[in-house]
Amino acid sequence: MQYRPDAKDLILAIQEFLLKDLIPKLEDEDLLSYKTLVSWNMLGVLSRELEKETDFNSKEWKNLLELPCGEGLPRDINDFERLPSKMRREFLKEAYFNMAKELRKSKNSNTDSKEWQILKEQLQDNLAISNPRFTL
Amino acid sequence: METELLKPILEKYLTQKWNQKLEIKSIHHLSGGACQDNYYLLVEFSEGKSEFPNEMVLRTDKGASLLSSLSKKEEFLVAKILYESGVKTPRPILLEEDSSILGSPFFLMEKIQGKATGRYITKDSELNSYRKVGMAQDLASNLAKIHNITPDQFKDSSIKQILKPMDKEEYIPYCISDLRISLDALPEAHPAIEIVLNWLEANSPDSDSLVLVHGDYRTGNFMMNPSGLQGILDFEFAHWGDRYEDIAWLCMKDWRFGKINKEVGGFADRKDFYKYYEEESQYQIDPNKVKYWEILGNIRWAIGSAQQAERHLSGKDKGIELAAIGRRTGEMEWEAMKLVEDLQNAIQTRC
Repeated sequence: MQYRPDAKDLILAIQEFLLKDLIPKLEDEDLLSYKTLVSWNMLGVLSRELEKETDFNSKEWKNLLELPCGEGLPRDINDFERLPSKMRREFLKEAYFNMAKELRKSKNSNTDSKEWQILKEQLQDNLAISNPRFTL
Repeated sequence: METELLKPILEKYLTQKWNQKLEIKSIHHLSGGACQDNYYLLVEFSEGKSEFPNEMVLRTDKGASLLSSLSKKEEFLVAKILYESGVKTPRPILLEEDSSILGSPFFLMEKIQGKATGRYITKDSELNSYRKVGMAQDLASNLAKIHNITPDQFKDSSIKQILKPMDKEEYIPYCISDLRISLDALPEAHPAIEIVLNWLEANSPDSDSLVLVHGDYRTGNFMMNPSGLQGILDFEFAHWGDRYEDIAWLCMKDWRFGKINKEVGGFADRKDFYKYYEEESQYQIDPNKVKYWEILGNIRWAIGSAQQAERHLSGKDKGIELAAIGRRTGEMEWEAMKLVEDLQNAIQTRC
């Protein structure tokens, strides 16, 4: 789409409005002020998710394909990336469900296992979206 | 409930209940937890004096409370026991179990001074001198006083049953099984939680004798001002449990509010806090057990945050703060995995 502002710019505009125009007017309103700050923060999550989600999903696909839980995933990265974002998420959600089920059954708690390493990597990417200031 | 509606209902109710004329001069919503509604009340008694304070807080459930939380009656009873045992907490004043008054049961307690926000407790310069001397000691000794209360002290009382008594050997398996039940009730999978629960099951330490556990003893539930600790709040998650649950919960990274190096609640070092706790309780803390329970605590909070997001997503109780907490689940999952690795490395290095 050629029209501007794009989604990221719109999010930025809303964030600026909340921070510069709204919050100063809420000095005596602790609860509203807190909720406004939380909203500002969530817009940041949205913005980073828009930017990083596709790459992040492809990395998850690649990792999960190495495990038994990834059996139902499309085998070719191009097939996976061509899917609409909602479908990509559904595939990944299903793989994570399978992984959780397998872990419950196997009682695997080995920190050297592939599952452990993949889960840590996935969390690291996730935190880069939800809270980049989180100290890993 | 809107405060304009609440005011006349409460005036009528309290006048009848206490058999004295009164007027609510001020009432407003206090910012509080995600599960509770708290209202400030300023009451003027027409005869001037009363055995009840003029400033009070009304506490009631907000929409759907969390599954593991106590009812208002139970929370009131726990607060009463603790207040009478010398724990610094607001005086509980009145319990009303009849939901027809405000829509759900509620209780009143004395309004105490101070603030409880994480930023204020860990960073505000107003508390600098108290943070240097007194804060760690007050919170450690009050926690030890809570833990001095044991099930044996309540032979036939209903409180013994309410707080779920069990054998100490059953306690950790019960906690893990309870967490799995909560995890299964979530609509999404959390394999990181699964793998850590497996680790917790395979590496559980012995439990000590069960004591009264606050269940949410953390920065955010302590009211303070420059004069010091004014009171400990929120007993909705109290139960008979392992003392390490509370000690470890307070040490979790999420309650440090950016003061990462102050590992106890963002305001104290572990060695100081442990020392003060040991002095009051005459119990020696095992740092490895604290780490174990910190891992379990992070898993509990990861599930709790996903549950709060689910309250929003299911439409049971809408709110931006509930939705936002859900996106923080990964932080606790990461922290739990990191702590498992740290603890394993520490044990391997020692061997």
